[in-house]
Amino acid sequence: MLTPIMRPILQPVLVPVDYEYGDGDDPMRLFAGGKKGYLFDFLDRSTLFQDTAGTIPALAIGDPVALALDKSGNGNHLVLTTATKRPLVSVDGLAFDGIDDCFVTIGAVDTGGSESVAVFYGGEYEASASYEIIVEASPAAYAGTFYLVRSFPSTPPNRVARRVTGPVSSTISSPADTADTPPTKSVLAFLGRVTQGNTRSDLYFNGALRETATPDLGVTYPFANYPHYVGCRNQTTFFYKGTMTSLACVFKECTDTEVKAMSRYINNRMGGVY
Amino acid sequence: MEIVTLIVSAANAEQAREIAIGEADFVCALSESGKLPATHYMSSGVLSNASVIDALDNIADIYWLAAGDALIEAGLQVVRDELPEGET
Repeated sequence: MLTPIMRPILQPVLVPVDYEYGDGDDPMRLFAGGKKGYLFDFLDRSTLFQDTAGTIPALAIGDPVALALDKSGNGNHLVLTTATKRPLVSVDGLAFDGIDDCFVTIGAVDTGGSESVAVFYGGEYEASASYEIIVEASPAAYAGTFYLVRSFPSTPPNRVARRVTGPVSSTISSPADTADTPPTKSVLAFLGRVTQGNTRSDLYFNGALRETATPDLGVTYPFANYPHYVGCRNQTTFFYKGTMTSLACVFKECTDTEVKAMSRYINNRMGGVY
Repeated sequence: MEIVTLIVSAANAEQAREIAIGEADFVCALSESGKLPATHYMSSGVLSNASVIDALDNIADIYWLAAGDALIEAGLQVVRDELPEGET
């Protein structure tokens, strides 16, 4: 049952437990011990609002969403103040128009000084001739940040790219083999680590590890605190087109088991894409 | 909830952004060829304050259509963004 939760966004948000998580793959396990990050379930309309104050629920298909609540308990809610840029409620979560729709976190995301991050996405994108950013952890390629791009237009096209950026260099990794291009509707996971000499930029899709990379960033530089942009760069370019069902980011070193469990959770929420 | 697509000429874009602040920011660049330079800018989505339509009446083309259909009507294409120099 969908029950609107009426609360000011500045109050601490408790994690809703009003739906089944499925086969025990509770996404909150990722955040055990107070791990930093965020968790969005765009199918859970009790977390979606038409106004940034969180007073008007977004319950119907086509309702614009100005506020999406972070279910991780970290308070990294997504907001968008410009009316026409707001994604719309859809059957599969939220629909982004590829023109100007996007979100930004309500403030800088506290990374806890972590050198590791894991990002999870479930959705269906529509290919375009442009980059389509799923999430970028700063207004641009700032030091101590990352991005995950769903549509990377270089040859071969429509690949997934991920970037980790240190103070010396920025490295984008993307599979060169079209066999590692995910289906348009898929579950993705990106694991990044910025520990010099032991870096990591791994891509999973649909629960399976598909590509690993070890970017040379020159120096260890922990992830920094910036607002995170969802579906765009800095609300101005590289807009994502399609639907998003789930998005999560946790600043910790995730195990393969955790990645597979979280991927299964998102897959279940999407009705089974693999 | 009705989707509206607003298109303004590049010359009027700044004025439109000021008028429509909080409603539309016209960041999507357009041209006939889909290549630079941008001749127009577009916003598309659901308005929270419909009175902005009246305020934009003389400087924007207003389509009660989704962006894709509005672009066909207008004969324009989205100018796709390139990565900044130095970022590969």
